[in-house]
Amino acid sequence: MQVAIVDYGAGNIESVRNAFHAAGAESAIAREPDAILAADRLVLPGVGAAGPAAERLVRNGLAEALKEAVRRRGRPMLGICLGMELLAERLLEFGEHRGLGWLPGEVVHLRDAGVTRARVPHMGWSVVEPAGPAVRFFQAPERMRTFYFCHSYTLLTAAAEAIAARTTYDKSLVAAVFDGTVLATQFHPEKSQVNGQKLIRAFLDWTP
Amino acid sequence: MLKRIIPSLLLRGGRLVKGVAYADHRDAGRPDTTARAHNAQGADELLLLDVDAGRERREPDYASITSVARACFMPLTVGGGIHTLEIAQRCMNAGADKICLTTTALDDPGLIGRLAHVFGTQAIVIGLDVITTCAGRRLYDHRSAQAINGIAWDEWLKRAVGEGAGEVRLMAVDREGGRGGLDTALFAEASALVDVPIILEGGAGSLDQVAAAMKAGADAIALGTMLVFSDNNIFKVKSFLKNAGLEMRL
Amino acid sequence: MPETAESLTFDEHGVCSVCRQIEYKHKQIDWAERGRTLNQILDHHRGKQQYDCIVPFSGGKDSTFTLWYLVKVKKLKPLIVRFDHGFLRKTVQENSLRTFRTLGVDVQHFTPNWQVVRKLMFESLRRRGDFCWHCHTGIFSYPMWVAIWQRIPLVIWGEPTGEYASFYRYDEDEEVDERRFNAFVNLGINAEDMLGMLDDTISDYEVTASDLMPYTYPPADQLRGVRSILLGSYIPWDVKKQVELIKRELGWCGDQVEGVPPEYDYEKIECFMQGVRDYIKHLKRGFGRTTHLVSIDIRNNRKTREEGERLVAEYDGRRPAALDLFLDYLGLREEEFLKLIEPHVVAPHVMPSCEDCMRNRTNWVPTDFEDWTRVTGTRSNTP
Repeated sequence: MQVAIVDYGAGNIESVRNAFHAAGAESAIAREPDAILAADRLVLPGVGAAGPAAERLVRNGLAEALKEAVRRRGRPMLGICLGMELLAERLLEFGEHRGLGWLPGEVVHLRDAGVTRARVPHMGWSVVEPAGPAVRFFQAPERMRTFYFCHSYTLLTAAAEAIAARTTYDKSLVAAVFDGTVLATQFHPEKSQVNGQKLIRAFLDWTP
Repeated sequence: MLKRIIPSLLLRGGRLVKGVAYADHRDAGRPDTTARAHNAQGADELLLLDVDAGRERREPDYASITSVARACFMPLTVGGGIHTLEIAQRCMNAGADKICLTTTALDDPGLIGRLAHVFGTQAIVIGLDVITTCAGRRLYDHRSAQAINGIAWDEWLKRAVGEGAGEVRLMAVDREGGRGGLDTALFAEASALVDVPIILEGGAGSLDQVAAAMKAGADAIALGTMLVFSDNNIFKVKSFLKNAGLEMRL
Repeated sequence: MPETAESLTFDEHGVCSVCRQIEYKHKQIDWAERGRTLNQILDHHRGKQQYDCIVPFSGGKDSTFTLWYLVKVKKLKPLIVRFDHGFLRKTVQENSLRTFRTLGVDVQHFTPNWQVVRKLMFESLRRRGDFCWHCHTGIFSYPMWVAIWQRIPLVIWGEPTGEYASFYRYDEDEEVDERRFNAFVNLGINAEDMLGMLDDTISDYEVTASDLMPYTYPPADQLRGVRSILLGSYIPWDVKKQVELIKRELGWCGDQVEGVPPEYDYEKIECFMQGVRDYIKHLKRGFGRTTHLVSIDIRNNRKTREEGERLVAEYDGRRPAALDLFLDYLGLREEEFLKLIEPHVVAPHVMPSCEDCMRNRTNWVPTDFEDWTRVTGTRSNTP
């Protein structure tokens, strides 16, 4: 099984590759559309500013390749942090930018989402409550179903059925989405020790 | 809000060291195998500082960063001698998740914003070494082992966060290695000034002291001496804290 | 039990996590299902090559029961791997010989380099207030190397951690792997760390990385395909029944242990330094093994509180005879020893003074005291 991690200049590919290796899967790095199309399974990681990242994805043809591979050909994709935020239509960070538009909704600063009584960025481990069919990715957690979060922005979406998991940080926030063959998490499974490894394993074992 | 326990590791010559007030260092293990132990014990993050990179005017020990990152399935913050975007990028490529800037930011405050622009504010930690004496609180430069008089510590804290630091590592230098307890007053002053998460470090010698600091509001504590020179195990530390009524990831 | 015991947490009803684990063990585990899983695992390995599995063996009650069960009940052909920590006692040696000969098994013994052990004991005591690092790490690493060298892909241990502590609970999949090794077995120190920490305080013997191989957990890629499991994950662990069984079936005998009443003769009998371990615990925390054992009896209505207190007053915290040997082995004076323990004392306990310690000596020695070796192996510093 060919797992490809998309590299579009938005952050820590090595951690993701390391975590997949620990979960028993070797992965390739995809920087070109062809590499994306050749993969059986995709990982879209990312940290940093969403707007410029989205623009790079489009400019390099990677956004189109992902759409083809994941949305049309139905290849499974795991989005992480920015890789979840980018799925939205609008990214409201340093102005307004377009996301990939795979999910209705927008990404806003935590303060604009009503998080007023906690520090920003949201930095640390938080308990995640999965719901719906995405529960399959959160089986057999460690004692606490905690994952590591490190973000200042959050997804607001009306597509309730796509929300796979929530977490509470002053307010209830979207922790993960699950739509079609896409599982995307606000938290970092590659930095969430045993729970993260189990989620990665569940993603690898999943046949949509 | 789950509290964080973060081992603080000092890197020197490819090994870890630990001492008192940035001096008198003893061997504290090999970076990757120590990280492996912390990972297994459930450390929430790891802080890895290359103590001499700045002083020796050289780039960080990327090989050690890489070996630690491979063992770490929790966030890794790397610091020490990171004074350009290229060096920061190399640290990230080696496996760092966050960059900690201490003296390099003091030398070049614009560096904070330049790095935050590329990696995001959540990836930039501003390190504040604060020394408290009867003359009050001042910033400390570990390279010269002297207090800094040009800028007040609280002004610098506000400025650095304003420039784009998403987190603060607040080290009470006079307490470090002394096991006399964490400087909760310093923490209180700092947390009133900025809105970002703050990691408190320096002086933790007993479980009671860590509990006291957390009860006083510290959400994240970095531990050095306690993990190196005693039989404390992060799991045991967290069990103690949980029994003391604190919200821990256990 | 005082609050200085660790890894336990208390829930909102004030019940400790170990009690909860034991409840879970009795009420929530489908042991029939677990038994079937064990059979599947063992059937997969049985008869495929010279040895079906490795059984790491100390001669204590747990490894003796585990070996008996695997040979007699499961009809396996194991290779026994025995790590000699340096302080094996006469009774445990006799017990072991009786067990090996009665059951009929091949045994591989390994005695590590004593010069290395001395330095490891000192550094471990200095950094962790626990001198047994070589033993903890050797017991759990060495058999894994044997598994690699002999190509035996199954290693079977005995007792689950959840019986006494909360590093792993009964509702978790505990395997005896590298994660567990780093989670609590190695005291947070790997052999690669220890190498840089050793100095010449005890001797100038030069320790190299390969000297520390027995204490080094093998790399993950070499252990691929090796499974390291606990028998207690698949059958309900019952220490009392198991001890009765091995006494009956193998003539296993208990032994006196320094610092505990003679009636507690079934645990910790393998090592003549146990008394020093328990003494250190008392110095650090203000309670020793007698308090622990007596608490269990009080909880189970086998003793009254008064009886318990009497025994604690008589046995807990007395300076053991073995300490004299320990000090000789490392060439330390009593004050130096106490100074090493001092930083590890757990608040709110305060360690007694050197004079008080010396005065509080034990008033009896175990029957095999004279057999404990006096060979210190002290090197002279002249080349």
